[in-house]
Amino acid sequence: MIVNVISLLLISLGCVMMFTAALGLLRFSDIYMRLHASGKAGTGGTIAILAGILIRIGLTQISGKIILVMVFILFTGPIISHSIGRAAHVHSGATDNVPFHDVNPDEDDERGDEDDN
Amino acid sequence: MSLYTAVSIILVFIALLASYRLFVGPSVYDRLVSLNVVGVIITIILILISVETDLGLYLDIALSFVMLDFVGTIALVKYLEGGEFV
Repeated sequence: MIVNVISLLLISLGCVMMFTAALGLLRFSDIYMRLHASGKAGTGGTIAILAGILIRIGLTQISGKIILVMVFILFTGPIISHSIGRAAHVHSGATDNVPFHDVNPDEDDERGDEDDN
Repeated sequence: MSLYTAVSIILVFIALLASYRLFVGPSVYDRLVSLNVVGVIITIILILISVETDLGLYLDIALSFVMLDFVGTIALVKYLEGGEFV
């Protein structure tokens, strides 16, 4: 009984968080704001829904793979958000005239000359 | 209608809502963010199908889908960013 209630609460929370991520993706005005919405609410909603399913089905043969998918999404969600945000920041041209040495290591010398001028 | 079917239908509508940015996104990065969210929702739907029908096959498909989604997104981002491929 209490297991059903907890799993239903987790699955409902996950659905609400996924809906919040989709709504933020739809309504926000900037690429960084959209990353903010999808990066946290999307990953959190996924973890909540999968944890609810895990609690509901108990410890069976297929729950190990669900834990594996959960851990994988928990690890790769921030990596994907960081990569997209970094690529958008480089692509927007905001780092052209500032020393952002990690962007393209081959052009460090040219950037240094520009800074001297 | 069981719980898993209802959650799957709700998630399909959320994926349709999130895929608006996939079709009319202003930049290509908006489309990538939307594609990430839609891929995660597809993974959850595959796991729900697996639990509903008691077939372990869909879990392997879900695991492979998550890994290929991650690698594909990272490859697209590295291609769009330019410079050297690591």
